Amino acid sequence: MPDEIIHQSMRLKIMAALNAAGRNDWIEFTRMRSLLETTDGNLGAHLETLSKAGYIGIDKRFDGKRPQTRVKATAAGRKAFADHLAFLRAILDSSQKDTP
Amino acid sequence: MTVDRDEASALLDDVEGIESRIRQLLIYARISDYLFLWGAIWAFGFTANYIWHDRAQYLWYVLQAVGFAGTVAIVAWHRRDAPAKGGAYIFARAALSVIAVVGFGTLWSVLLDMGWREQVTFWPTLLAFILFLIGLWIGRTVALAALAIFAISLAGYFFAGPYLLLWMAAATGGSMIAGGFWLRR
Repeated sequence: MPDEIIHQSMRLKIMAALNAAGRNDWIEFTRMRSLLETTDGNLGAHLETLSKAGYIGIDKRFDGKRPQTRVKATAAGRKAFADHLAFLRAILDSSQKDTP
Repeated sequence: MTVDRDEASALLDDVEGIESRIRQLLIYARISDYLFLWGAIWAFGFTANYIWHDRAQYLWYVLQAVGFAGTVAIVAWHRRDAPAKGGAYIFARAALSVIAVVGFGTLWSVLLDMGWREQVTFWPTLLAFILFLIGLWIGRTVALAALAIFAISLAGYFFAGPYLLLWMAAATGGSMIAGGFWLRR
């Protein structure tokens, strides 16, 4: 079954980025925004959705005097992402089998 | 919710693109750690060499040992998430890489009977050359940073005169540290 939270295109990209980073690696909000070429508001809303689902952790702190927001995938988020990728690949595999 | 083949294919392409970009950023960040380490060692080493010229040989032995230990420590830090399997092999490769570069440089600096100016210029340009080759394979930002370090070091050889050691400390060490920040930007 598809994961409706992760399936949305921007949220899938966010999870792909966090999953590709190491388990202990955080990605800064500003780096994520430039990587995904999106706006503060759009990224913030999707991060909030993923956080409420328990798929990511959000850490707000100060780097010197500069406020910094960073995110990383939780174990549940990594599993949900892996399961959703398996779901998408299964669709491709089944459609290839159906092709005469 | 239904997902058709085209949508699944497009989403998987998106994922692959993002993963590829993140992997490149991680490699850049990892290379920057080595640039910070060796940039700091050279900035300190060349400055100390300028001040305590007669003790330079012993100073560089100590700094090379610090660089060696630091390099292995960075490899360990980068591998903290990796599976333990094959860990010893990775450490052996990292240690051998440093020994090979230092051995190669030492061999030719002795065989060619380099003067101190040539030696001082040779090591940073050797490292920049290796970094340039790595950059050709993993990303042009690394290759460009390497070219800048190479050019700055060589410029010191020709134009810094008696202040070559200070040039190497500030310009070469500084450009390596700046290159590290550039890769992390």
